[in-house]
Amino acid sequence: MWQNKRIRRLKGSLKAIGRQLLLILLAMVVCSLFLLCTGYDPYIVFKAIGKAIASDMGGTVRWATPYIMTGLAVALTFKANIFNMGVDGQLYLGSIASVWLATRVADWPSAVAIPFIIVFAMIVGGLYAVIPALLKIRLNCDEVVTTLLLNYVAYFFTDYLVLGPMLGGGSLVAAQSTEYIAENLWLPKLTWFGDSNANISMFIALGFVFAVAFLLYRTKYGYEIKICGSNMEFARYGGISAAKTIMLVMVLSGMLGGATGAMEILGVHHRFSYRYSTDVGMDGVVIALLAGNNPFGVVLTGFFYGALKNGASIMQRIADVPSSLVDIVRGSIVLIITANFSLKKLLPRLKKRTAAKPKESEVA
Amino acid sequence: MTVDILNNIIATTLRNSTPLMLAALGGVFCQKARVFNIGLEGIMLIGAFSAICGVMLSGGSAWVGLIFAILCGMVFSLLFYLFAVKLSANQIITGIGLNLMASGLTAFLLRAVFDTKGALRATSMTALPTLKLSFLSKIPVIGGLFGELQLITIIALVMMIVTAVILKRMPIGAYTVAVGEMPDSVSTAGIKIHRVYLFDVLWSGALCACAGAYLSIVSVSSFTEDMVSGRGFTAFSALIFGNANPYAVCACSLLFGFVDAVGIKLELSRAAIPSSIIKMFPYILTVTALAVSCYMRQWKENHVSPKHR
Amino acid sequence: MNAVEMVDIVKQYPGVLASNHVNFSVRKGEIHGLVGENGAGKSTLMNILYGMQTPDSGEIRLHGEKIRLQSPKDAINAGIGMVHQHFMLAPSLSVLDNIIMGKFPTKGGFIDRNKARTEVEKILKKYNFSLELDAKVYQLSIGQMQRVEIVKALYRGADILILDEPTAVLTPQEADELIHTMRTIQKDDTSIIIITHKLKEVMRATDRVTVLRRGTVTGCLNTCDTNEHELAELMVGHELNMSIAHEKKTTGNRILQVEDLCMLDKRGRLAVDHISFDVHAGEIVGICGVEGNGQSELVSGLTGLTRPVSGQIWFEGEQVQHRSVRARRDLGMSHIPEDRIHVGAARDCSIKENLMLTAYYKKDYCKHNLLNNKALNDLAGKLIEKYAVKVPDADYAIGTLSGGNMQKVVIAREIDVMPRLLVASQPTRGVDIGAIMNIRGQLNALRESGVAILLVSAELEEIMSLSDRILVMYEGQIVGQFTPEETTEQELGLYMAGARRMNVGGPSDVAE
Repeated sequence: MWQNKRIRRLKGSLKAIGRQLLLILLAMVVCSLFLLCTGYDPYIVFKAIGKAIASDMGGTVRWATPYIMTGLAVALTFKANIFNMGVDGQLYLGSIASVWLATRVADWPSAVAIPFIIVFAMIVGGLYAVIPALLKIRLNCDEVVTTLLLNYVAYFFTDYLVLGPMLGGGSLVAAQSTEYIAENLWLPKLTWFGDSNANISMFIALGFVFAVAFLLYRTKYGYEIKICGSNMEFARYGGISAAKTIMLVMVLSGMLGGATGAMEILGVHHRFSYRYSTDVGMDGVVIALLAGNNPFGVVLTGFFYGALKNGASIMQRIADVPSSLVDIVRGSIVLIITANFSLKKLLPRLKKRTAAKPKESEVA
Repeated sequence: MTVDILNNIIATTLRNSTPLMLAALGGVFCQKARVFNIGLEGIMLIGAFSAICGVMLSGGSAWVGLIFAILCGMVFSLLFYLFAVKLSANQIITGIGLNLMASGLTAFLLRAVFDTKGALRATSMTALPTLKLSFLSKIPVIGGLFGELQLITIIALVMMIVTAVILKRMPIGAYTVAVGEMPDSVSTAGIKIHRVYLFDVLWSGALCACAGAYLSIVSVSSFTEDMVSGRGFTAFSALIFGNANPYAVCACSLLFGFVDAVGIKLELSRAAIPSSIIKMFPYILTVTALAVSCYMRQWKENHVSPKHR
Repeated sequence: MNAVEMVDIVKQYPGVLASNHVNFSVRKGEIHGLVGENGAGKSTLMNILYGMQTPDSGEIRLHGEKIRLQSPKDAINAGIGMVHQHFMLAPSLSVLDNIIMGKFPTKGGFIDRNKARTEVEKILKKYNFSLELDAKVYQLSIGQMQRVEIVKALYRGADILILDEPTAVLTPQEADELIHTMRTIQKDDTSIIIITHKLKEVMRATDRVTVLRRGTVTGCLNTCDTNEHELAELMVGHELNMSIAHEKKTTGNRILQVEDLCMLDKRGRLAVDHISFDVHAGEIVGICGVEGNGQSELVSGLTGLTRPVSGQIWFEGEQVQHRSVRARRDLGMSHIPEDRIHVGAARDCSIKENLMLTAYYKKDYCKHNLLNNKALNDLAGKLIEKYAVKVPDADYAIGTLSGGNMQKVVIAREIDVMPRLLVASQPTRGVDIGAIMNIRGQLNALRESGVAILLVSAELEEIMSLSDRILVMYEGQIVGQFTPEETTEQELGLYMAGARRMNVGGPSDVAE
């Protein structure tokens, strides 16, 4: 019995991975067709991507880190059937908060200051997510719209800070950026891959993955999140507070977003420059979706995404194919996933139409 | 002096709001039909790109560019119809997917076909005509600002009225509203609701593409990667703020454009109030407006007089 | 000549023969009542006539001509109009627009509202209706909305009008008006079919009546030749006996006491109207009634899913009407919901996850917020075995189970926490006979062990065989109280159809 279960679980995860691979493969087929139409040889292009990825593992790790984080943030809310489209805003606020704090704790020992900064960024991101969560709970405002809108509020607010009170001196004015944070607060680089921006924030991200997985699969909150996401009526009927659960996932998601910002600042950029991050949160939606909202799946898809992102620019150099090909790959993955989900919904409906079999409840 | 600044700001406002108005008006029918189309951004980008392509293909005609953009926008929005309506996929995720596709597709084609990085310039383009409304320019003080109106701004204003008229006076408008509120009221009347959705989506495609074309062939006459840069989402905010009412939506677009214009002015004059803070306000206002409307709805629901059955 | 003739209609759903060789005819210009209990096949028959479903066999003739109805559009074109129980109206559009929806007269592509207005006003004048055409639908009362629906059908040229439970949503005054309206329309040679289970209205409003029971026609009579008793008997019939050996036991303490409870439904109307009753330990109190008479709202009020407008709920001496669902559950209240699929289970979750809903937070299974997975697995295994759920193991998604098995999971979960009170709503709906017997046996065993049970069921026979006391609900009030020994199904049927009432537990006449 126990072993059966193990085997089935293993089979289940293999199936899930297989499904992801199939989706990616399908997206590649779409892109190949597209490449053929525009006069490229898909084989050469994909070989170039492969080569690019292999030649710079450090870059892959560097990019996988924020992707894993934002993917995790979105996956957590998706579990409860809530859409947090505001990870980007939370990330921006977390970033600026960590730069702000970093200038104040520069002389602290780094072992104390770094965790302190990250926690502070998490609190800021989490608090920012409270707004849409409250609007959802109290007024039933669509969280998709409010989080999208609040992103812009966060963008403009950080614009103000970085162009105004926090603008650095000298050449940084032209670069529209804050001062660099003190060097003792920089996260140590990973040197295994040679010179790259990969740093130990990768391990922090993996730590968050385990924490989220633990929350989801081992605690009662995880169960409540799953039940709320699966059937809100059922949750209410069982006495689970939907409001509390929504608040919990939104705040945690916002905290992950804030942490991502801190990790980007401490690990890679070491300063906040005007609109430095582009759509990492939006990409998180795709990553979570591709991973089927599984935290460990997010690691895989995060790496895949990081490899694509990093490989794209190198590929452009090697094979002279525009790096934006990768965006097309990403776009088609998203569309293929949604189509895949909806085909599942559609097929039984088609069958029903031919057999004219109504549901139990329709018999009256 | 102050009059000049005012004129300048108003002119910039009109310039900034025109694409917002067009895109937001495009979203009106989708929003009325409760189709959540955040693909506005992507369609605009496709429109901007195809407009320049049209100009280059035709050897410099802005008109061809505009029409080509509208066609491409409609074709691209068909993808949204296919996934979000026909296959009943999640509308938000479809929107994100389309935005990604649009951004990838345009940037890729820019390099692959036109072999340019960054910007594609339409050389020797005959621009769309601007209108000189001489009778308006005679108005004292503010007359100057109407001295030159872009044709497409006029089109946007006309589209506002057209949208309102379709919504109020044509069957498809009534069907759209009914589909959004009670789809069965349309289907039991023997009308195929998918056709209603198709119209709504195509409409958004046409107008958003128009908005994109404005960006590439009217304001700068070149296409740069990701040149829409969030305007689709701004238009979406205006759409939400204006509660999908064509006039209100245009007013909100003007507000967003105005705030932008003031922001630019402030930046140039290095005023005490930072432009970013000003630009933030319309979004805060939109969230507030949304919250208030949700509150009103809930209040209504909770305060129905308990009628005896 | 008959306006409608449905000959030998057969419609089979999986597990249910919804129409069993049904013959149904309506004469020109008559008001024809179609009556039967829930699930008797009334709606199926009318959906077939309105083209929403196609029959497996049989034919439909309109005015003597055979016709194939594939969609509502065909039916509309053939002159059939249907007024659904839930109105198909867009609230923010005007009355006029809603009436002409789908058949807009146009001039140059624009809606010609003037032309439409004259046409609609012609109809209004002809039948002497009053409707403000420029008002928005959301401003109307329910009765006015229904009139809009009727005018909509007439505008499309319907000469056969189907009204599905037309009075279910109306006040008595509005219902009177509706009957008057029907009489006016009838004069114009329009045939009207009303689907209903209210016998009083059948007697008052119809010319002829067809009775359905379990998919077969049990009678087609002239209304003036029959009476409510006969119709009730035809509706209920004599069913097979599935009663449980039932020992009379002295009942224990009062567990649940409800006083003057008022609940609103989703549309803000008073659905539970000053109800008072109690349930003692070791007894089953059965609440019967035709669906939609406030039972669902009563149950959701008792279990804490919705807050009552007024009144008190006492649970073992404690006031609980403002307590949360979880608090009430912790006091010992369990709930088998009527909608097992949408409320009673999370379809994509495993059987284990469905079983642990009532236990996962308790200290045996959860310490410091950490779930004890071993204990939970053991619990799931134990429940599956004890309640004979037929599954290979607890990790399967509950959505894959049959109705009966799924209900077993629900019942296992609700019973195993050893409740003091069990609120069981339609516990045997849609499950096979074996499972029915099993579930009834369990309810009875529970009663014997001293649990108070409130059983809400639309199945009269179930109520009769299980209950110690029976309350009949009609229009949000308790209109009758019986013991099973002193009543018959026919008598209950009369109370359920509103043909009779006693003065029990109704609105207190005394001012508060």
